[in-house]
Amino acid sequence: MNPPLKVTSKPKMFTKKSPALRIDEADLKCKSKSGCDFFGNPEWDGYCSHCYRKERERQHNDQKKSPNRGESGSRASADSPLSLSVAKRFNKFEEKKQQQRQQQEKRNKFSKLASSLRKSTSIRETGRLPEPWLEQSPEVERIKQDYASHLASLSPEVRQLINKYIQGLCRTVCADANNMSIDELSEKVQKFYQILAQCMDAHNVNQELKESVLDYCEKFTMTVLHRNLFCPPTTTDEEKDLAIQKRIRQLNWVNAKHLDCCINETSEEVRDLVYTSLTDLLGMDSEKAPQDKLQAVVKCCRNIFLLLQSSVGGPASADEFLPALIFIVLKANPARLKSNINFVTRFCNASRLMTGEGGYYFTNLCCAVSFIENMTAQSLNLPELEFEQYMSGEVVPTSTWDSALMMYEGISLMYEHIAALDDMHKRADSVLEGTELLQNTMKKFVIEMKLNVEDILARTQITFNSEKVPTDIDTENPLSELLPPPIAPQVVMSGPQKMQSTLAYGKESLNLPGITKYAFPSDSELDALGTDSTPVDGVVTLPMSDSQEFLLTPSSTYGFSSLDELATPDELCAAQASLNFVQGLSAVNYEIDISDTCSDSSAGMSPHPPSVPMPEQKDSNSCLPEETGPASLLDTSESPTSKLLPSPIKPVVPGPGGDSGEGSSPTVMNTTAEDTDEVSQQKPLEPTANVSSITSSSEYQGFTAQGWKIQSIPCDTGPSDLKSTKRTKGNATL
Amino acid sequence: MANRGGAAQRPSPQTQGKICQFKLVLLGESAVGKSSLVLRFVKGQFHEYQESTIGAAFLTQTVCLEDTTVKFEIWDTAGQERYHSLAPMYYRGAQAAIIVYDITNMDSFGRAKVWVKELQRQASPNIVIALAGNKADLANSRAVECDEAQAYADENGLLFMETSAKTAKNVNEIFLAIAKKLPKNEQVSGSGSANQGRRLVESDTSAKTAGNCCK
Repeated sequence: MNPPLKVTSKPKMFTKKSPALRIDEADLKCKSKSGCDFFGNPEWDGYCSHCYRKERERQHNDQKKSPNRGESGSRASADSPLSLSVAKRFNKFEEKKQQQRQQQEKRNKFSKLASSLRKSTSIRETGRLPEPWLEQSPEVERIKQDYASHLASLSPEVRQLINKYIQGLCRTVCADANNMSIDELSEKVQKFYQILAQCMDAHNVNQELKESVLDYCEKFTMTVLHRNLFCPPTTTDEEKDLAIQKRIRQLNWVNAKHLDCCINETSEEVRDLVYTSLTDLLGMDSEKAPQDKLQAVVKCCRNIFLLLQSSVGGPASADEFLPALIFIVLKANPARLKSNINFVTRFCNASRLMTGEGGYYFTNLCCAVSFIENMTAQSLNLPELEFEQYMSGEVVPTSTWDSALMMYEGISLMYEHIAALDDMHKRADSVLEGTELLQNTMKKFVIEMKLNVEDILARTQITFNSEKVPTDIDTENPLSELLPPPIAPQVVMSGPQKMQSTLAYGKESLNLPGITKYAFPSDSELDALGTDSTPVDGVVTLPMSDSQEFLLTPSSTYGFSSLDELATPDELCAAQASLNFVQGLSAVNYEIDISDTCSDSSAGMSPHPPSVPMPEQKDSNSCLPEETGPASLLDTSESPTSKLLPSPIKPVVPGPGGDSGEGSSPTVMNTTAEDTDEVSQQKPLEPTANVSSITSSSEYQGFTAQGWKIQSIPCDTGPSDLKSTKRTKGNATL
Repeated sequence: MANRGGAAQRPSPQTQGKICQFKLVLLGESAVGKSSLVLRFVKGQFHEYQESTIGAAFLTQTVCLEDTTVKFEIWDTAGQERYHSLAPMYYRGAQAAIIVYDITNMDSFGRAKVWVKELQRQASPNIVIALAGNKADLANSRAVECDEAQAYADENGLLFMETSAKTAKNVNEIFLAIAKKLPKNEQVSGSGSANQGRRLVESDTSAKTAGNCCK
């Protein structure tokens, strides 16, 4: 008794502090009207513990007296233990069922309200009831339409009679629905059917018509009176519904195996049929007339037979059918199952219910429900303990695990396959990509090869020709040796004369090896073109250009060997001369080397130098009268090589080089053909002065001579030009 | 009799005289051949099933006697022991019952005896009960002597025949015998059955008791 006081004393303290929140002591007292002096507790609905218990007891007793009031409570308890362990297979149906249940709850509440209202009104204005059953719903209209032809074929007398009976029944049922027990009502309705049948028999209505008219009467009255007769508040149907629903939910672990039911769950066809039969069974609730409900059951059962047929391999007997039906009922857990069954048994025409397919299947449904209600461990061939565990949800049956495992197995297999397929897909893609790449590379390769081959062909043509020519030249070399003497006199001669001589010589020399042959490569390459067209001029110009230019020009063309030679000796001539002699002797070798290098070297660059050196050499030779002997030898030896190499660039290089002053070798290379052309064209005029200057400096000539010698060698390597230029520059500075 | 039976199977549309409809329940342990028996009787089939035959649980067949047409509505029942307690729902309101056993299986005969007892106690008092020893074609491995069964049948006032769904032996005959024995003057689909139909609902209790008594 004390603790509540203590508890309530706290708020009091607070109330003093903040009057706004002040609570009267009376509010905190127990709500009990009996004047209980203890404090109440919100947890106990404002009662003290003692009064709360009393109140609870009182409510409980009330509930027992009028079962309807307790519904909300019992329903809540029925809903709560749901579905933690629900097998997921039938989730869909579980949802449907829940929806139905909710609808049902609403409907029930509404109908109860309505019925109670109706009751009050009917009490007030009995007799002159506005006949609520006459406010016809579209459903009733449809029934009327469906049976219009049958009714029309009745004699008007019979029709009137029937209408009278129907109205009478509806009126009495509406009036007395809540005053009569459900059995009395059922009796009344059954009597009504019998009277109708007798009436029609009396009027000699033919059998078929009689049946259909009976159907009509049943459908019509039951649809109209559905509200009053379906699950009326005077019965405990609803509680039974909830009980069976809860029971079925508890039994959700039961599977086909437990029931010895030969449903082949792995077959898709069978599964579809299971679902259709489930929906058929669920559809029973949505029908209003008992006959239609019966038809729903029949439909469901026929589907079950269909699905059994595929599993059994023949017409299924009751041995297979009943377990299957139980299984379906368990899985469907139809809403208001008991109410529906009771409604049908009470108000369906008994002759329909006891005979025929509908009767048989309905009996089976009743059997299934009864079996479910009374299901024990024994009836499932399970040990008692196991059954209890399953029922309490402690243990999930292994079969569920089995099926889950099976499913998992299947799914994992599926994933495996999908992964494998993906992998294969990727591989196929990569293969395709690879093939595409390969194709492209092949194409490229072909093109490149073509180009290369063209290039090489172009070059090699030259080289081959040049090879052949040089050999000719070599053979002629002795002749050229013979030639020097003419050059020597030229040296002695004055500048202009030299010029001419050199020109002539150059031309000759060029012509000899075959300028025409050079022309071919020149066509293929721009630089070559420019240079090629001007080789003769170039020959002329080169010697005239400054010493630097000379150095530059050879530098671009220099090969390793030439550089080495340059690097080692400033002492020059003698040693070189000796070398040259040797080279001259072994000119053939040189030529071969050059040809190889030419073919190896990149396009364009390599061919240019030789042409220049050619004339230069001759010029140098011409410039160096003292050295004529060796020079001539050098010339002879080198001239062929220079010819082999694409000389045209050389002339180009010097031209612009001379114009721009000191240009790095690459820039020289870059100069366009046009410029070179112009330059080359202009050059012929310039040389005279230059030549004279050159001639004046004998030392330079020596250098140049070296360069030329070197040039002849360098021709071999195009790419090495850069290095060579650097070195040559160095040399030049030296 | 066999002759007439064969001819009588086919229902003639214009039936002279009255039509009597009877509900016949098949009882017996599972796998004794209840549905085979019915399929043989109704469809003339054994193992060569037609597409139209969906199920063998509920079938109807008409038999013509001299002046009346007897329409059988044959209700098959699940024979498993676990469903035994549900049987009363099936045989309630039935005018006839065939209790089937397998002559090669002594246990099934024992079960048949239990059924007989139960029917005599719980079914409608004037129900016609027939005892059928099925699988007569397997006489080699016979376990139940014909005489023994005949003696039992006589003792309990049952019709008795050894039948074979496979060879069609005595199949039509047993149904004809039942048809003959059934009272034809009684109105079948009248108020009597209506009451029984209504009682279906309260069957749970009776089913329970039935189950208990069998345990």
